[in-house]
Amino acid sequence: MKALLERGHVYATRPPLYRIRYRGETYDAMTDEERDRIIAEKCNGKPDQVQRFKGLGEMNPTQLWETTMNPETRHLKQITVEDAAAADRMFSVLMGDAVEPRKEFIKEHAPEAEWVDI
Amino acid sequence: MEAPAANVEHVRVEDEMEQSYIDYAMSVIAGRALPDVRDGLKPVHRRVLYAMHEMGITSGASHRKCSSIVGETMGDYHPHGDQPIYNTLVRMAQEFSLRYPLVDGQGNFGSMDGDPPAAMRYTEARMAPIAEELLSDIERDTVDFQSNYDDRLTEPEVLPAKLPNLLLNGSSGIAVGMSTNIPPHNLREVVDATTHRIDNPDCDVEELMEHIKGPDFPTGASIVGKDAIYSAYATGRGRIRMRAEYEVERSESGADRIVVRELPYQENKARVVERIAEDVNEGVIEGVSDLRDESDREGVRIVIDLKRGANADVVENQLLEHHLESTFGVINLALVDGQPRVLTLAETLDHYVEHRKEVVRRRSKHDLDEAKDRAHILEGRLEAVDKAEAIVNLVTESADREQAQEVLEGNVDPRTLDVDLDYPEVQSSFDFSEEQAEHILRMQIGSLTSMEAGEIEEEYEEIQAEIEYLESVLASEEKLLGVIKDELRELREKYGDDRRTAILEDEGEVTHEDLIPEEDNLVVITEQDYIKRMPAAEFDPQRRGGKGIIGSDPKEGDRVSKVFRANSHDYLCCFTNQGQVYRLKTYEIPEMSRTARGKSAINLIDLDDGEEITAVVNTDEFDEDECITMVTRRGYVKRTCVTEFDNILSTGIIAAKLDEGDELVDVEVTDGTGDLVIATEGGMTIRFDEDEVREMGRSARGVRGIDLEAGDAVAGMVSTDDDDGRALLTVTKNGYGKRTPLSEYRPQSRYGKGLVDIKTDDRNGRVTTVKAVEENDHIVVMSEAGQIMRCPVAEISTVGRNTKGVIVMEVEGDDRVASVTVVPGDASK
Repeated sequence: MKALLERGHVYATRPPLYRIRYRGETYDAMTDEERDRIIAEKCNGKPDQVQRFKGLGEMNPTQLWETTMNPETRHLKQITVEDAAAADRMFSVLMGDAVEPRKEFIKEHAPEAEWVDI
Repeated sequence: MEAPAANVEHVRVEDEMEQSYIDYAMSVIAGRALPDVRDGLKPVHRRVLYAMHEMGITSGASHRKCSSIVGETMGDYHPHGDQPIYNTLVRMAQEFSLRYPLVDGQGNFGSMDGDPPAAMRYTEARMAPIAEELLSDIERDTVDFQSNYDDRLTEPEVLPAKLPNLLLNGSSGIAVGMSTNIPPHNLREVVDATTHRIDNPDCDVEELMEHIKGPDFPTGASIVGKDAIYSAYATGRGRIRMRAEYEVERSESGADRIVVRELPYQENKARVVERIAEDVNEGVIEGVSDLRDESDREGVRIVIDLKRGANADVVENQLLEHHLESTFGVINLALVDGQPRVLTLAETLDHYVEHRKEVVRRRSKHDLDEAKDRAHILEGRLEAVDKAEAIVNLVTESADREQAQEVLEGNVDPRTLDVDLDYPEVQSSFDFSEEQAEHILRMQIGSLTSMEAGEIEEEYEEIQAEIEYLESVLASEEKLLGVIKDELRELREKYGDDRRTAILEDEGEVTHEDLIPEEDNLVVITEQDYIKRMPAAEFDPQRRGGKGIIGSDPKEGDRVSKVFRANSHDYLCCFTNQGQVYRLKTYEIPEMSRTARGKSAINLIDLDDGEEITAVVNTDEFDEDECITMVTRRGYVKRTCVTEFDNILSTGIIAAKLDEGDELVDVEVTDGTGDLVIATEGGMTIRFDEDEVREMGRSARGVRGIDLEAGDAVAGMVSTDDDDGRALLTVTKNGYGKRTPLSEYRPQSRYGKGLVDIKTDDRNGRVTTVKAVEENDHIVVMSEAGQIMRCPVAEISTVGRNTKGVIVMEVEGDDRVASVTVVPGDASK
């Protein structure tokens, strides 16, 4: 894994969270804000359908191609290692045997959570 | 892989991990594993109940297939697996899991023996009446709703919860970095405490505990000791001891029996019976002749028949110690405004009362609006009855309905219209509202009779009274709280039942020392800190050269690291490779069978990762002027007075300061008058006067004891007097050993290279350890794979120093000798 990371071979896909349909057009949105903006600007505030993808399994093969696979349209995150020691520390806090540092980490960073699934 | 040009963001792995982890952690904490303080439900519970509510499967309806409930819940509200949803539904129906089940199940919903429920296509369910109380008033704008996961429907953020469900049914869940474990309680007691709290917002825990005596478990049994209950309520945390309910039936014939009728909460009955049987078979519990589970649909009944003449008290105590008691570790953690918080009992009640205030206030507001609307319509009807002729005339003369309505609302003066009106004065003064006008136009002609007019009058008065009442509730906090209390008391009457769990005084910490036979034990520890003890007498002496028998079963990747002898009543000082020392009573170590792996030592000793017990001494043998003498792998030796080890904390204390990479290897109790013999893995020994090592404090490093060859390390140490007649027993990794009188080891100066003790060639392997032995001692040799052998020392012939030795125990394959201990030959067998 480490070697793959170092050589820049590891990517995270970023499929859209929402697909909005309006008068035969489809729009993808990565965030709630983007969805609201598209609905307001492109759909006259009244989209025909807003689909929320809960997982890749929800997509048809063509949808998966358009949103996630097609090099032209997909969004990727390349995971890089710049500071191996810092990465190492983070892994041992998050996945190590000691519970206390993990607790501290959660306590400290709780307000930074972005995608809380409730 | 082709480099994707567009739409690629670069992110450092630690940042991605950090963000993803915190998102995940907060999702589990706030959205999955923890209950809301207000309704005591996790999202999955709430969604199942709300789905049942939407499907109309109330307690009065007929049962519906669980699969359809699970399907609705999953499809509409809970985008997770079907099995977790079904498990949730099942648990809510189990009478042994919930003190007040929320679901009324039809079919096989599992048992206390851990039997699984029937598949969801067979079982059926509907709401229990008490679940309807949690949902009641949900249609009356009492709680906020949020969009479901696909923005298609809405679901309640919390239920109105007419009853304090968090305390009634408790909750348990493991989130990330935190978990919750809340015990269930008795409904009457909780209601009484809630109403008391409403009347006395500043009351303390003691006052609340006059009402809530403690948890009340669905499986009954009893709680021993009130301190833990107090701590749980005062701080949100406490360890509550639960004890099974049983009777000792004495019989004339002398064969008594113990009958268990109730088990501690969340105990799996089949497993308890199994564990008792194991202990009986292994001789841990003696005096049991038969063990039967006679439980049936009526209840639990485990019968333990005792042998004629067996001591029922001893068996009872052994059963209590190992099987009939367990602990409920209370962590009263719940979500308050979406944030996890550990709550005291008072805070839990306060949050519930606040929630009810909000619910009743919103409900009253909602009802008030409805009543006002109705009053408004009734006012119109009353006026319409009063002016019936004029209205009928207007309607018959109007061109169409719209026109009539315009006139009724006073928007149009009828005199300007081209109609012939009988009562123009009245008809032009109409001033009905739109709602009233519509209603009047829909009225039946028959409702204009004077009798119906009387009924309207009556209803109007009732509505007026209701409006007045609702307004007074909304205006007065006291009245609002009164409503909450009345509703709680009503439900107390309806659903209240007697407490099932008895609360017993703690008769003082029961020490079982008196009941524990004083005998020699062999304690076995593995590298991964599994520990157990076995009576030494269980092991018959064998001839040297055999393979031994199974003495432990370390799991894959683990191996035996240490075996030592200890009397069951000994108070031990356990020294670890990291230079820490801990205290331990031998009998606290679980006694287990030869073939058992042992229990994790974590409950006994707080060892760090990679920390191993390397030496053990018995503190009962301590004399004030004696010293603990320690030796490290790199040859440092030091002496520290035993009095420095008087106060050993449960988290251990430092015994020796170690250089980076060095380890504590062996420890001896010495009196300062003898000699020390240090042996190395490479087969060297050095003997020098103990006086050459001066006494030092616990945190000192010590002085050099032996000048090690490169690559060599200290294996062990013994202390000896000039003429104690003992011999030095050396055992090597490959199972070879020899015995040489200690007198053959000539004293030298400290920090020399020493003398050759044994040849460490390919056959022998390196030295495992050395022991000082007497002629009639036995030694116990244990291999890393768990083979154990007890062998009389006399079997191993006495030879000179610097010889090869003989085979002691045959080790197979890449197995090696892990540890050796000495057992007095005459003590047992």
